[in-house]
Order: sequence, then C-alpha cells, then structure tokens
Amino acid sequence: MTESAPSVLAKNVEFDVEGRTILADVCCTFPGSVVTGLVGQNGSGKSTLMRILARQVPATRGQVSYGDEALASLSTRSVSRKIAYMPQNVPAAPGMTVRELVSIGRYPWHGALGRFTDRDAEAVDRALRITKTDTFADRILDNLSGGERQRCWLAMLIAQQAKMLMLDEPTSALDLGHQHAILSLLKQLSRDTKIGAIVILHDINLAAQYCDRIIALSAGRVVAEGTPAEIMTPEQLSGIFGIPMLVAPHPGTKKPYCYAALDEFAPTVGVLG
Amino acid sequence: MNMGSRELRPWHLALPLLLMNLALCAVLVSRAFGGDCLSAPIDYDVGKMVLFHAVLPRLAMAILCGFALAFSGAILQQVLRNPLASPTTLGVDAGARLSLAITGAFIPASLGIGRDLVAILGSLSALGLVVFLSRGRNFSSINLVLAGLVVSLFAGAVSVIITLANDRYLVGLFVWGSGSLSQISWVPFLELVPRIALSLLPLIFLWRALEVLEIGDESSSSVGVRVARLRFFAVAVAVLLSAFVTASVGVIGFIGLCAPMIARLAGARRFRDRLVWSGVLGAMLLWLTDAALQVFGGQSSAFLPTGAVTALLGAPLLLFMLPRLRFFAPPQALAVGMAGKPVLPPRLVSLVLIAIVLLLGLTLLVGRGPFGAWQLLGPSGLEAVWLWRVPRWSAACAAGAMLGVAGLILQRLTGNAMASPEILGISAGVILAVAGALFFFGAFGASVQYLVGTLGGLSVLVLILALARRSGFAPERVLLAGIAMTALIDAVVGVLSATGDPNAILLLGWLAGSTSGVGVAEAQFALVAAAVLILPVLLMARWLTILPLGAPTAQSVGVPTKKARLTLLVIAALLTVTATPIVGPLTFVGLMAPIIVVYLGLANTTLAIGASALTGALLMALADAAARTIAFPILLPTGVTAAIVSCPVLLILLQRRWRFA
Amino acid sequence: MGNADLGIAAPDKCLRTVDLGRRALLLATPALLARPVWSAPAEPRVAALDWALTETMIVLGHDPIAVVAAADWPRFVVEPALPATTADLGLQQEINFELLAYLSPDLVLISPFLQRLAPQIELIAETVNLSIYEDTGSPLALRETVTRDLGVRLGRDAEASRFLSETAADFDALAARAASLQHRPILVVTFVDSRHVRVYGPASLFHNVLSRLGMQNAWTREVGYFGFDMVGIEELATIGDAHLVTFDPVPAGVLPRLAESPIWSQLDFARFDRISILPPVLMFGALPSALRFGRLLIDELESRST
Repeated sequence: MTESAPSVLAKNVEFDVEGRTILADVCCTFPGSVVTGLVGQNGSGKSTLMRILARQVPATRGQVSYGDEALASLSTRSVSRKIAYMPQNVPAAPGMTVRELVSIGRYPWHGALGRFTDRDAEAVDRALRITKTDTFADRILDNLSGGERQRCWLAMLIAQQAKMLMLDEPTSALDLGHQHAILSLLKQLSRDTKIGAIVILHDINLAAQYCDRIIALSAGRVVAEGTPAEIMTPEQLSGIFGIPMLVAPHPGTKKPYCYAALDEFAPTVGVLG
Repeated sequence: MNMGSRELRPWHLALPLLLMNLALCAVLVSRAFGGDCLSAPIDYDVGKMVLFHAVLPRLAMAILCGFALAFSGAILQQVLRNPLASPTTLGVDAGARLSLAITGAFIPASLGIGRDLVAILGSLSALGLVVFLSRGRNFSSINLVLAGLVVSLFAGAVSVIITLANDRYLVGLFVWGSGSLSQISWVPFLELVPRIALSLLPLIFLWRALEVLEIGDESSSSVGVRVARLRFFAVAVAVLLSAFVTASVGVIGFIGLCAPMIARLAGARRFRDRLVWSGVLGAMLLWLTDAALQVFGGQSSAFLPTGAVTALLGAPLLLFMLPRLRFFAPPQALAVGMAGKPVLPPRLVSLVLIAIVLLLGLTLLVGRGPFGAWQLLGPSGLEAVWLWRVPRWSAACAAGAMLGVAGLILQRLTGNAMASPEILGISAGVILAVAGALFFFGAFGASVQYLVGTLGGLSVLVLILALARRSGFAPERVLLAGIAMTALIDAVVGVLSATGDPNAILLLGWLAGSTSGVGVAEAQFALVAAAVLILPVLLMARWLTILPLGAPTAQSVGVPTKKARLTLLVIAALLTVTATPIVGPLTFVGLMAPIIVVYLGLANTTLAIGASALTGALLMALADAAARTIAFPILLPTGVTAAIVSCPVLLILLQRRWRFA
Repeated sequence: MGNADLGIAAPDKCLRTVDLGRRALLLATPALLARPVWSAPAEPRVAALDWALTETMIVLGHDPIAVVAAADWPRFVVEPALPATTADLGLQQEINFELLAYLSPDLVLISPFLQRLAPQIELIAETVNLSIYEDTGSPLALRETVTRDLGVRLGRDAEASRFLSETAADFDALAARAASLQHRPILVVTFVDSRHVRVYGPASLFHNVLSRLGMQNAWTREVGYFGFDMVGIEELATIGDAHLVTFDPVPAGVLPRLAESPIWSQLDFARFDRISILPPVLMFGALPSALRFGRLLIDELESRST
C-alpha cells in the first residue's frame, strides 16, 4: 500500500444540460495520495465535475482518465474498485446496522453472488476501527447522530479499498467539531495509506487547513489551482468568490486565513451582478 | 414585456375548444329541428322537447361539472403543493362512490334524499384516510398519490364485493360510477348551481393566502398565513365541489387532474391564472367530450358513460405527461419511515418463522362442515376435501408469496412503503386483457383466461418499461405510469358493465379474486411458478440491500444500477402477472407483507425475502380461510377478502410505526 | 350462518332470516343429505347452478338438491317457489364445492357462464351445460328446447311434454284475454336510476312473450346480444302511444325525480298514467318466468281496464 496511487485526470471535460453549459472545457489533475479540495461558489459546477470524475454521469464531451486508463472504458465494477464516491445527500438507510452499511463497501470485491470472505470481514473491521465506529457497529443507523452517521459512510468508502475517495460536501450538515473530525480523519488516512481524495468544501479556510491542493471552479471553469498557500491570496480569492477578500495569518496555526473584505454597506456586486 | 407570438397562452387552447364545442352544439340543435325520427303519431314536437329538456341541460351540466371539478383539482394542487393532486388521484371520487354503493345496498331509501350528504361523507373519509397514510412526509407528491391509489383500490374492492352480492340491484351503480351526464330536466342542474356557488364562496377569503402558499409552508406562515387552517378550509372547498358533482352525475375522473395540468402547461403561471383557466379549460374539455359523445355516439350504439370516456382519454394523457413533470423529492424524502424499529434477535427469528408456518397449516385445517359447524380437520377429514380445499389454499399461498416478494422488491426499489404490485399497473393490464377477451370472444376456460391475462400483464410491463426507459427505470416513474394504467381499469370496467352484459358479472368475479376456478393443475402451476420466480430473487439480495441507498451510492460500489433495476422490475412484474389471475388485482398482500416483515424487525434482506414470501402466503391463506367460513355456505372471493382483512391491519401498523418514530 | 346474507338489501330482511333458519334446519336433516345407496330406481340427485334450469326442473316435478344463491330466489324469481329442502351453494361466481361434493349429486346442470368451472364440477358429478343464452332462434323456442332436453336428461320426458303443452295452452288463454283487451304497444323497461333505463328489445324473452300473446313491443330498435340496452330516458320520447311496464323494485327516489322532468311528464304513458310496476320477473328465466310475465302483465292490464 506504499506506492503512490494513480491520479485522476480531467481533459477538456464539458457538460451541458438542456442547452445550458454547466462545465466548459475543464482540464485538471487530481493527484493520487494527496487530498484535493474542490471549491467554488454555488452553481460553479463542483458537484457535477465530481459526479463526472466518479463516472456517475457521462461527460458531454471530453475525457476522464484514471492513471493511464480512460474511465469510460472500464467496467462499473472495476471503477468501483478504484474510486469510492459519497454523494452530497446520503439516504437514511432505514433499518440497517452500521456493520451492514460498511459491508456494502465490499460489493466491488465480492459482487452480487460471491462469498463474503474473511478478507472482506477484515477490511470491514479495519474500516470500522479507523473511523472509530467499531464501538457502535451493531447499532441501527437511524438512531445515530449526524456526525456518527457521516463517519459510518466514510467507513463504507474505506472498506471499499479504492485508491481514490471522492466526497461531495461531507461536512455540510455537521457542526464545527465534527467537520474537523471528519477532515482530519481523511487527511490522516490519505497520509497513512497513500490514497488520494477529492473533497468538495464550502468553507475555503477548512479546505486550506486540510487539503494538500485546492482547485477552484467558477461558472464551470477552473479559475485557480495550487497549494493552499498559492490559493490563499486576496487576488485569487476575490476571483473565486466575486467579492473583495482579505487574508491574514491564523492566530494559532499562523497559516493564511481569509475573510470577506466588506464593510456593512459595500455593494456585493460580484455575487449579485 | 415581449410576449412573443409563439409563446403558448391559455386562450390559444380555450378558443379553438370553444369553437369546436359551438360547432358540435350546432349539429345537435340542427338535429333537433330536423324532425326526422318520428314514426308514431305524437302530438308534440319531440325534437324540441328533447333539445330543451335533455340536450341543453346536459350541455349546461357538462360545463358546470367540468368547471367545478377543474377548480377542485386546481385548489388541491395548490394547497397540497402537488401537481398530481386531484379528486381522482386522492381517492375522493372513490370514497364518494363507495359510500353511495354501501348506502344503495343497505339503506336504499335514504339515497332519495341524502345523496349529497352521503357523497360528502364518503369523500371526506377517503381523503382523511389518504392524508393519514401520507402524513408526516410533507404530503410529497408520490406519497399522496400512492396513498390515494391505495384508498381508491380499497374502496374499489369493497364496491366489488357489494356489487357481487347484489348484482341484480346495483346496475345503477355502474352507470353512476362511470359518470353519465344524461339529463331529462333542468332540475338537477338548477340544484347543482347554488351548491357549487356556495362552495366557491369561501374562496373569496382564501384566495390571497392560497397565492402566498406558492413560497412554501414555513415562509407562508412567516408572512402571517395560518397554513394549517388555510389548508383545512381549502381542502374542504375542493372536496365539496367534487362531492356535489359526484352526487349529481357520478364519477367523472381526470378532468380535475388534466385541466389544471393543461392550464399550467399552457402558460398559466400564477395561481389566480391557473385557477381561472383551469375552470375554463375544464368546462371546455368536458363539454367537448360530452358533445362529441352525443354527436358521434349515435343513438343505436352501445351506451357510453361520459365519465368513463374522460378516464379513457385522461389516463393516456397522464402517461404522456409523466416524463415532462419534474417534482420528485430527493431520495431521502422517499425513504421508508421505519425509523427506530429494533432488529429481531436471531434466536427469535426462527421462532417467528415457525409460528408463521404453523399458522399456515392451521388455515388449511380450519373450516365449516356441511351443516355449518366449525371444525378442525384431521387426516381423514382433509382427504374428503382434498380436491377442493387444498388446490385453492395452495394456489392462494403461492399467489400470496409471489405478491409478498413482488411488494418487497418494489418497496426496496422505491424506498417507499406504499409501493406495491397492486399499484404497478400490471394487475390492471391482466384484468383489462381478460375484460377485453370476455367481451369480444365471450366466456372461455380458466386456463385460456390465465393465458390472456398473462399476455395482458406482460404487455403493460413492456409499455411501462418503455415509458420509464428515459429515466433509467427510476422507480417513481414506473409507479406513476402504473397509476395511470390502473385508472384505466375503472373506466373500461365501467363502460363494459354499463352494457349490462352478464359477462360483467364474470369480470367482477375476476376483479374480486375468485379462486373457485382453481383446480389441481392450476395449483401445481402456481406453486412451481412461485418457486421458480422467488428463488432467483434470493440471489439478488445484495442488490436489494444496496439499491435503497440511492443510485449514486449503488453505482459507486459497482452495482450496475440500470441492469439491476430492470431485472428486479421484470421479476416483480412476472410475480404479479402470475399471481393476479389467481387472486385478482385487489389483494393488498403485496403491500402488507413487506410492511409486516419490517414491523417484525426482519431487516436482513435475505431473511426479509423469505419472510415476505411466508407472510404473503399466510395473509392469503388467512383470507382463504375467512372467505370459506365467515358467510358459510356462501363463499366470498378470496382476493377481495384479503383486501378487506388487510386494510385495517395496515392502518394499525402505520399508526404504531409513527409512535415509534 | 349469521352473515350468510351479506350485502342483501334491507326490505326483506325478516323474510331472509326466517328463510335461512329454515334452511339451516333442513340442512341438518340427515335423510336429505345421505345418499340413498341401495335404492337403484330412485330419481337422480341433481344440482342446478343456473336459475333458469332450476325453475324448469321444479316445474317438471324434479326438485334440485342444491342451487346457487338460494337466498336471493324469493327476491328475483318468486315462483315457482324453491323447495325448502334445497341447499344453498353460495354466489354463482364462487360455488361452495366442498358442500356440493358432500351432497354428492348424480348430475350437475350448468350454463355457459359457468363453463370455466366445468373441470372442477366434473370431478364431482356428470356435468351438463344447457344454454338459454343463444342468439339462434327466438328465446321462447330456445327455452322450449331446453325444457325438452332437460326432460330427457331427468327421465321426465312425459312431464316435459305435458308442461310444454300446458304452457302453450296457458299462453293461448292469455293471448285470448289479451285480444279482448284494448291494448297499446308495451314498453318493457327496468329503471337503472332516475336518468337511465334498460329497454328490452326484439331479442329479449319479454319481447317474445309479447308476440306470443299477440301484443306489440313498443321498442323496435336493435338491442344488444342479450336482448336489452341501456338508454337515457330522453330516448323514450319518440315512443308515443305505449304502456310502460317495469318491475319491482324501482330504485328509491327515481319516480319523484322523473315527475320533475318535462320530458317524462310529456310522455304519453306518464300523462295518461299508463305505467305498471309488476312484481319481479327473472329476466334470464326459462318458461316458468316467461309465463309468469305474461300472466302478471295480462292480470295488470285487465285490472286497469275494469
């Protein structure tokens, strides 16, 4: 598990819905073994890009490759062994225990009819352990808190043993503490097991803190790409969010931290216009 | 304000409709003055007489009823924020029809005076039941409509059993059930006008608030609208409008659904436009249907009730509209609300399963002897009834097991506890095929009927799958297509039955799920079919576990989503097609069995498949035992008995479930 | 047995209860049910699963041991009265085979509408399918044929011939009485609701009886396969001079509603009160029902003319 995972490459990806362009000519690389943050305003096409990267929907034009293979040429099953995807809204999964949910992550390996082997069980146990969900593994999902449930879904993705995790806003419904818990878990996992991850985040500061790289989209195009330090400049940020931004060192970590640079009555032309 | 000449406006539709209607009316009037049909010496002008007291009031009635029903639909759609709401889809029609049927059968004298009241009570209780079944889920479109269909089907089941027991008396029920606008005086029209006007009165006060409702419940209440009270009064207005019409001319389906839908499509964007244009278009549409029937129906051809015709036209329209509607809630809103139900401990699982099997055996042995005494058969007693009781019992069990598994598949696929094979439209296809064959070719043997029914069910399956292909076999679409198909049953049965053909009684027997035609061969076939179709489902247990988590997750872990859905849908359909000819389309076992299994705490998929089959079999066996014994020596049809036994159980279970949540 | 009368209208509730009680009592009589093992020449035990065949059997003097929907008989057929010893096999669509098998008939009579159940019935006894619902020939002639066939089947040819000649004589007598009456064309209808009627046309049993009595059916239009059609009441407007005949029970509220209609009150039979409500007559009946219709009609017309 030490060799670095292949990267995911988007080449000239475009996506149209009913004549409207959601993504226009997106070219970018998501390296394996690091955590990449995908940021941007509402409607900038982040989720759509991720769904294309995870082969949930086909791109209208362009190509996504995993390592040197075209994603479109792979079977569903082999894609699912390489890429694990968590949608933005995870369903309630009524009446299912945590362990049952995590075991679903083994489907790419045993398929519809294959036996659930000791290796599968091991992978599930490991995922439960890593996410610290093993203490309530036999409880029913319905009765867990939002943070706990999110960890269970992450455990399912881990059990899938894919080399690339893709998470669509995994922190959106969580409080501050749980947001950090999930992201530090992800970061640690990536560092320890050399797997890659793409995370869509709303909070640019959170992204800067946990991601190794950040890719910013605006109106369906990549507008910035680089390390957190490269992205976290007032010019870049203003370009991404359409309002004046300030960057100052975080009082504790001394890493760059950004603020909207607006006084109370300043017109927010960038967003509303 | 560039309106653009190509943009569709409501009057673009209303005007041509009006012109067509006027042309048809001109034909009718000229016929009246033609005076061609006189053979006997009659000392008054028949043509004018009929024109003034039959044709004209009939047209007036069509316009008034179309207007009122469309208004009712538009209000319901606005207040429930649901483009599929209408008196037809919410079971309001069915409730009124059932209450009138019950009254007609048991206290006929009261129908002369209290027709309106009976219809209103029936409508309200049906709607209450629908709201109860779909409450707690924000009245989401699909839940309301599914609950409406469940209530309609249940009302239909009870109507069938009443009609079967009273067939010679209740011919009128068929005519009325299929809504005839035929008039012989102005009196009913003049009576209906003030009723409709009075029902519309509260709208003056509700109007503004209803418009505000466009922005959602919470926002509405934050601008000062008392949403609950508004909803109550608006629904009351809608129900009154529909109930008065129903009491006066019978069930005229689909106008209340189609007119607002067309108004919306024709560009009536704001609520007030939609309401007004719905009314206008509803009036025009019903006028057109009825005038066309009068002009082209001819005098000698078979009697065609207008309501049945609107349903025949409306159901395909609904099918056509489905791909164009965008209203589905995100997946989690569809999830079955089975929260908090503890999983059954493994040591109890086998106990529960053994109990089910024992009960199954008991249903076979219990019965009534030739003198009506209750008895529990021993081996020798069983031998005496071997040829009669065992085939129908085992066929019922097999059918119940198949429906139970079909229900489980559909509920898992849709994540919706209201999904069931009864609602898929496959059963409807089976019955429509048999009805058609009966009326065109006359009576034939049981095995031919099974064959025809199976072909009918399969063709509906192909149709539904073709319609749902575009959405990747999204289960909600499949269900809604099924609803439209099911709505056709009433129409066709209504039309065929109105002819008074004795074959209608045969058809009723089919609808009622009569198992008396089941012999040893049929029972063997049912058992083998059940085994052959249910076993593969066990192999798909993993798909059934993963698919409820939603397509993105399923696809992410490598489940071939489209293929899995298609395969499972086809199996569910085959199970339904095989079971329907045995126990009829109205059993609710496919709905009940999986819900009971969840209630028992059997969440594990493989276990749930087996348990659903067993529970389905048990429900049907209980129905068989009840049908054999409760009215002895009269046997009741098994299918409808199952429905009547199931419905209260469903209500109790749902009640309990929400207490847990 | 308490629920045996499920779904039956209220008016004759008391009658029904008495009726069922009696039947229950008789069901319990072993002599009725036990199969006569030794007495070879005893008449065959016959179950009749169609009312037209049932009433024909009864007038031929051969009582059926079991019939369908026995509880409804007094409401729709009335005469000939069903022998009190007859067992009830339940709804026509849902025959109680266990009971039928227990009664072990020698012969079961069915109509084409029960053909789909024939395989099951044949396991119990020899099954004979006799049809009064053919569109060949006139209904009355068809019923005569069925009567004769049934006579042969039951070994009662003599009774059948006697009954047929008696019926013919009865019809002749009725025709003679009809001739002495000054009568109009007769319009036979059943009220479905206040806006619709079933009219009986040329292919119907009622039409046949009218012709047999030398009377005229006022409804001359083509009708459906089974001899009747449903029409709106406004279509009766072209009938002109006729006497309207209908049957009990007229659904509640229909007559008051009709009285409000200008069309109805303009119709000759409404204006001159030429409307008769006869006691129930089985529309799909055999000769006994046909004769009953003729008798009831002539009685009614005579009582009006005096």
